[in-house]
Amino acid sequence: MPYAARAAALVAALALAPGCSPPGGGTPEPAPGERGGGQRRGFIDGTSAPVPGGRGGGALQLVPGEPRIRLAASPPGQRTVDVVGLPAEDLAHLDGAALSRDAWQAILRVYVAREDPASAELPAVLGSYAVHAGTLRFTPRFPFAAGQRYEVVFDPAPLPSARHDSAPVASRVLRTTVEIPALDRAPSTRVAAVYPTGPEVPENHLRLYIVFSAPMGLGSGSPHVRLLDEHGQPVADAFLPLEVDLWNADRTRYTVLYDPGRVKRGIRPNAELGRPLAADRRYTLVIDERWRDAAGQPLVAPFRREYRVGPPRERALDPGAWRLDPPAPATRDPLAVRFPVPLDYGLLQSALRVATGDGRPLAGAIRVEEGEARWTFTPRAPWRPGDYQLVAAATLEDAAGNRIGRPFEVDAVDPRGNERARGAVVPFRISRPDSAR
Amino acid sequence: MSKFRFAVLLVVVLGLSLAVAGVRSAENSEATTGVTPEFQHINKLAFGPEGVLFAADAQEVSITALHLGDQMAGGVPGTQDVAAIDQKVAGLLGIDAGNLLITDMVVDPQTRNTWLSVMRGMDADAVPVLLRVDGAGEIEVVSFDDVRYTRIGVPNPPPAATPLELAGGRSIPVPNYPDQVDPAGLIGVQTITHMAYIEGNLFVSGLSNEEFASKMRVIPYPFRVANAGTSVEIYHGSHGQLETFSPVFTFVPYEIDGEPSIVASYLCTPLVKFPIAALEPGSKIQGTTIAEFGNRNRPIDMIVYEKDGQDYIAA
Repeated sequence: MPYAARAAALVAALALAPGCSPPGGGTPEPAPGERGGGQRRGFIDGTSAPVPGGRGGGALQLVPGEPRIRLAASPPGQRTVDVVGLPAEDLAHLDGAALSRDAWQAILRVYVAREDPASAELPAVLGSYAVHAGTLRFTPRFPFAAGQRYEVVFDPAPLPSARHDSAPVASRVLRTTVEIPALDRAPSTRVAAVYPTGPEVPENHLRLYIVFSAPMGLGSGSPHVRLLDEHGQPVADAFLPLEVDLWNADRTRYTVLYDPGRVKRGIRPNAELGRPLAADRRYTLVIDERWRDAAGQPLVAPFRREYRVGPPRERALDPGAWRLDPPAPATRDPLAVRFPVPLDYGLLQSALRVATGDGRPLAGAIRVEEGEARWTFTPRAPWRPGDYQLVAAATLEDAAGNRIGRPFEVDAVDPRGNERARGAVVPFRISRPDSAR
Repeated sequence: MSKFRFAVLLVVVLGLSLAVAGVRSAENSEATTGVTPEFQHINKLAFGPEGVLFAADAQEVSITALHLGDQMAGGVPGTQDVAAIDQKVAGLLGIDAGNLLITDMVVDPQTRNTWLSVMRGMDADAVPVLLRVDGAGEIEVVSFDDVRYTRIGVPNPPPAATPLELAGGRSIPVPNYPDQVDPAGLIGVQTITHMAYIEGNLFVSGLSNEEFASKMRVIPYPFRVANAGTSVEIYHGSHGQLETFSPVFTFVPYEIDGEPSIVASYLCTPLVKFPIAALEPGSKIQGTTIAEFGNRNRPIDMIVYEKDGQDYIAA
């Protein structure tokens, strides 16, 4: 008896089964929970094509009652691969059967579609199998990926009905490709800032920060950041290609390290190649737009920033050279601090604080300005007359890694320089308006 | 208002953790225990005692000790070369290999099976997955269902208020500014670059996304309180002339002349050694250079193996 005739009654029942698209190639609703709001509808619904030589002639011709493979959106938010139109005896055989993974995959296999047929054969996608509402259903262990194509193979040979099916075995195998629609999104993330912001960096510059307007994806940033010399040629091996990327907690700020083996003197990469930057030269930092954000989209545009390179900075930071500009009492005007050399943008966020004279911290907002050579603190409450202190942590550094009391590179022979970095407290006073000057 | 220039009082910052972490002091971070752990990321792995696998979450900056029980074994013992493993793992997980990030690979010292941590996907929906590859090359996803775990936060990122200790025992509790931006996003996050379990302690190397200084943490296991661990400054001296902070990128425990030691690769490429006994609170360690690699030869991992009665380190 032909397969189709035996399955006809079952197919009619399937039309009403929850989560199954109506027979005949209807378009399932996209699964809820997809972001973007503008996803393409009408994805390839996975209606199977008989293999060459099978019944039905035309490759995509549908025969009511034939077993078919389709992509379903059921339960909501979870896409599955369903085989509909199976004879009742096959469904009864599979329902509750304790089959091994291999045995299930011998009947229904889902693969990631290979773009290159010559590439290595892939294992079947992991997932669970069940008979649900008259359907053989494959639920992937991890949700099918947007924009991904999958090959599906259904082979009824191990099923009971195959024993009394006279058709050639090969003709009963169904193969099809299903595709999860790519989410229709446009690039929206851009490079919001690159620090340092000033025009000049020292020859022994250690790190840059790239700030993005939205969280970025997990892909490495290394391939997307280049340094060009004055002739527009890439500076080879300027940055450290790290296997771990250095991000802030929400992946909006990325730290780029120059190769410290080239920046530090007396180490082999430095001896062989010299520093990545040379004083009195100009360089251009280039960030390409192919870097993908957390939505999988490239950047809106590439980014370029030119720097002039000055002499190396090799001295410890001296808080005695910082100029404080205390504001008037009873205002919320900012306290301004000016440094003789720009300090590290990231550490200026975390390593400088304002406290009262007896050490109670003040709440407020900080700003880093003028090429990281100026730091301001705006208190939440108006200033009261009295003694205060600017507190600097031992971690504070300039762009070349020099700290308070300890330059980045210490002369180990000279004990005066061989000290731990220190914190510092810089006292200042908010005077009464009527106090004598 | 005229500009003022004031006398500056320099203070020595006390306490080793502060010397390394500055205002980002360790705050008591109690270990948590439970079953069926959840991860945002898994980026580094290390085997511990009695079938424990440590997994580091780079996003949350925590380390989880997984008691995997029967999942530790079960396959064919040994390990096997699996060609195009990225494509095969991606295929199992239902994605293209271009969307798979393999974050670490370790070998179980008992079964010799290979364990992989990966991120399935590169976008905001990426999922961390742990896999075991057995001696027949079979790749299995390791389930976290009903797995017992102990988790401890590495004392970075910082708590809401962080003390800055001053000379004379005074301490200033410095707040992170909640009205500016989220403190977690404001202050540098430490990324874990390598872990190794050595006789009751988990050794952890990390990189900061701000300061250049090295951090090597020693956290006693079983986990109890994070700041019971110590962190020490690691330096490099080049030809006895110039001394610099030197982050350790990866390392391997190794006994040198009967002394338990660590062989470490610095971010700036030299390979150094230092005795484990030197990793004491308050210590300042300058590794002894064993070898200097040329440019682009920085090891990303190291393995000690024995051949013909001779020990080798594959870097």
